[in-house]
Amino acid sequence: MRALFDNNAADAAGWLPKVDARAKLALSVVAAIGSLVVSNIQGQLLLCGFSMCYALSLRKPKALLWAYLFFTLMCGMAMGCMWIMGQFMPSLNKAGFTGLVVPFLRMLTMLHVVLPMALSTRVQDLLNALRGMRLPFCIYLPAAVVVRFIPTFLADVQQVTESLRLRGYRLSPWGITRHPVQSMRLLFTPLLFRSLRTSEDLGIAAELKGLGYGKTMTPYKTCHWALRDTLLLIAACAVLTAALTLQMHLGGTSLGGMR
Amino acid sequence: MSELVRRYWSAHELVVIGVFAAAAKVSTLLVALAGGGMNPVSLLLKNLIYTTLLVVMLYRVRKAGTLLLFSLVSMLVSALLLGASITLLPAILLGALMAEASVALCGGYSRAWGPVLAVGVFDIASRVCSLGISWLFMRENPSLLMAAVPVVILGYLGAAAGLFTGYNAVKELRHAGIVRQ
Amino acid sequence: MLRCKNVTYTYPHQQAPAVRDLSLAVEPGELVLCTGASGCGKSTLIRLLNGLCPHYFSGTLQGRVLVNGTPTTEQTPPQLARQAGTLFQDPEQQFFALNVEDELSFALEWQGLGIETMRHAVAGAVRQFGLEEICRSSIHQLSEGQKQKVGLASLWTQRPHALVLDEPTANLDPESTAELALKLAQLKERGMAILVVDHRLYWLADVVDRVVVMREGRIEAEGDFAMLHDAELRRRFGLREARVPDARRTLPGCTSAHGLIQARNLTHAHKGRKPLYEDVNFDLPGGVTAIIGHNGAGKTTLARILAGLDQQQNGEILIRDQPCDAKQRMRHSGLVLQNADHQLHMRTVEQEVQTCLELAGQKDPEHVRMLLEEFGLLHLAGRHPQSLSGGEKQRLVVACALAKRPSLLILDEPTSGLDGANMNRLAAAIERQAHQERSVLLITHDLELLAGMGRQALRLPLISPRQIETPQAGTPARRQHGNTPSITAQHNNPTAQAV
Repeated sequence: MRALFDNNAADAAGWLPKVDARAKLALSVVAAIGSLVVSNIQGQLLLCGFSMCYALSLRKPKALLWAYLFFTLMCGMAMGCMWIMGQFMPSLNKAGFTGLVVPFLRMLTMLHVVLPMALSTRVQDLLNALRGMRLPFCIYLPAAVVVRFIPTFLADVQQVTESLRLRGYRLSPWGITRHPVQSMRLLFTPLLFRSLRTSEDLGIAAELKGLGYGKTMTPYKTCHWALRDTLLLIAACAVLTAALTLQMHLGGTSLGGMR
Repeated sequence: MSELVRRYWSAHELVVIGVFAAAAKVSTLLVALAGGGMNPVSLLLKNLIYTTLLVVMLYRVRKAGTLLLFSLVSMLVSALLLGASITLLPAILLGALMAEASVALCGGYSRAWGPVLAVGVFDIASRVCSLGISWLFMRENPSLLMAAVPVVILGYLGAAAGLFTGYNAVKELRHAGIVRQ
Repeated sequence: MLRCKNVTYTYPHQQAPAVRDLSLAVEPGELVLCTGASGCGKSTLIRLLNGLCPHYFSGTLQGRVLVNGTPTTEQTPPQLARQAGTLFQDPEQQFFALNVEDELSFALEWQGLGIETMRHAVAGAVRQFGLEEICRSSIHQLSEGQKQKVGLASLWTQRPHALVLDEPTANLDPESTAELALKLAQLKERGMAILVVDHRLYWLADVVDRVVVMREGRIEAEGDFAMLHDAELRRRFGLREARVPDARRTLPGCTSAHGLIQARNLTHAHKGRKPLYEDVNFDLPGGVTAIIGHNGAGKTTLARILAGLDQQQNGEILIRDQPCDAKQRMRHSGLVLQNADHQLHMRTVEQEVQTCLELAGQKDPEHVRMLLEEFGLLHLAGRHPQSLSGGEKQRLVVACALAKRPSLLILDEPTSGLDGANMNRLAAAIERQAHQERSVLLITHDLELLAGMGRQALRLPLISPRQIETPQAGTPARRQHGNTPSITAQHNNPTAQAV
């Protein structure tokens, strides 16, 4: 995630990083609606296939492979749980091939859509994206503050953990598991107080800068909506339409129930 | 300067919401990385810390709608930057609405236990609604949902503990002179 | 321009007023320095002038505070900020954006201005403060001096007629401090009224027109800078020195041929960069040693390697003649970071020290009491660490670092923001801990601390014997008195990168 906060990182390859963050967000909404509504295998395969092409255009095959590994692990665990429960309640394992595959395809489609958004959206662009959305002040300001302070808190956490290492604490998954209360106190208390001091200082700065006293906001810079953003959304809608058409013609479960 | 506008939340209060949203994101990420994502203890701790921060934030900004705003901002940034799924947004918002309604019916945030009640209702309502969204994803094979239920329950136990640690944190902040009665 | 007339202000929930019957005026083209011990009311004075008291902090205000002739109670903080800008101690804590240009424009976006007006204001601020080269840089990549400039530039976009600066030099190195003094002199020449609140005094000697000294909420002394040369006055009010020698040039180099801490053939480079140290040797004796070097010379990196947080790429580090890897070095060292808040975890001061002692294997409660007493914290044992003042927190984190009886104690800017009395108290406590069996390494920009505590210096960049024999162009090697092998300081290396 650090690479996201590096303002001077070399421009990532491909067209995806240049896509407006609003288009990516809209795409994820379209994908969410599509994957929820479509329930036959053919439609899901279509959605999954196109979303995979979208994810591959990120040109970060390693990140995608790691995501697939994690996904496979989660699926394996879910199947394992199902099998165990099926030993006690055989009725639970009555779902056919469709019942097994469609839910996984849904999750895979969402993975393909959120991963590029996370890995190709630079935090610098995020502030411009927030400006461009013309959000109300009550959403814009806290969102901008979150964007501003996530890198700072990550740096703070590094300092806190180094300070603990120097004192002689050994922070490890096993250590946290053995001493959860102490671990929470050690890791969390400095961050809590840091949050309070930061919010106080920044709140004062916000007052002095007159943030929110004006009625409207004039963005200094915004991301410009380009043709590729429009084409991306059109492509997404087209894929969704095709998947729904497949659903209508080939059949599938409705939103409300099982077959 | 253009005409002055009176806003429901002052700039300072919005900053508090933003800072705590950032802290919550970073803390939960840290615990998940340090403890391992599938570790039940880190799952508990993650939710405990999140809830604790939420309680402290609501004691700082004791206004109706704050929890709803926090949830919205948090999900928005998570979706844009951290790869969270936008499908959970309706569930989270519904949970927040239910929490706000509960507090409003019980006397508002000015009550001593108002923030704790709000977060308590939010924790359970948002989880139930999220399970509903998950059911929609897995409706062809609902037994898959069973695999998620223990994780959700464990997370909720952490969140429930977070209500107590959150209240204790506020007491500690009073002891430190940072939060006043 | 800035005026207080018989002002008495009391914070909510407080019994005693923070300032009492205070009268002060700062006229256009004048620079006034306000100083005093911690808790004397300087911060409250700033809050009164920028309207935070009472608009933000509430409280009770008697008397009148006027900015540009209008009482602050009749103006909102943003209106006041457009007339008198306030720069706080840590500018980064007030940045809303992640890069310089966005930060300069952030406040303007909500003022109903047109795009061209905003662009003009930002461009003017960039020009005024020389920010052209860093305009697109991330705020996290800026040096402290650059952050200071961005903070001032951000205020400048509002076109104020006055400036109020709160401890502006707390995080600055001497060069940046001198640059700031120059800039303030220029702004003063342009007719700006400037109030500087600071513990450090020397840097304003040639710039300030008037000095006021506060104590317990009142102005106790007022005059020109020459007033501060009175040692008795400074002692009475707990002030720092008015004249501070630059010990960076005069401190002798490390003379020990067989130090408590030894580095042999040390080589280290950051990934993808030129080596910071290549095949260098040095010895650190017991006592206090200052690490001196310009930004980018590798002071922090060296501290991290010696403390065991990082592993050197090559070479050996010995503690008491025993080679130690990073893990072993960590057991024998203590490192006190600049931000005390990152190092405080417990509910009470006593618990904080106790847990550190228990980690070091000392469970005797008497040790807790002794350590608290050593650092003047015994009366604060039941207090929450976060409720302590800046000086008290610093003493606490140093006490915690010493709990494990390290052979090497590294202090990173321990006196940033401390007044004279607290600085001396901390320095005395550290001096008592520095002896033949313990090496204390000091990384500091505080010239006063350096002059008072430094016994010898380890000057960066470090140069190996091989580099001395075959000197490269632009890096002349000199033998300093007492340094074996040659360790030379280069204060103006334009190619160095910040660490």
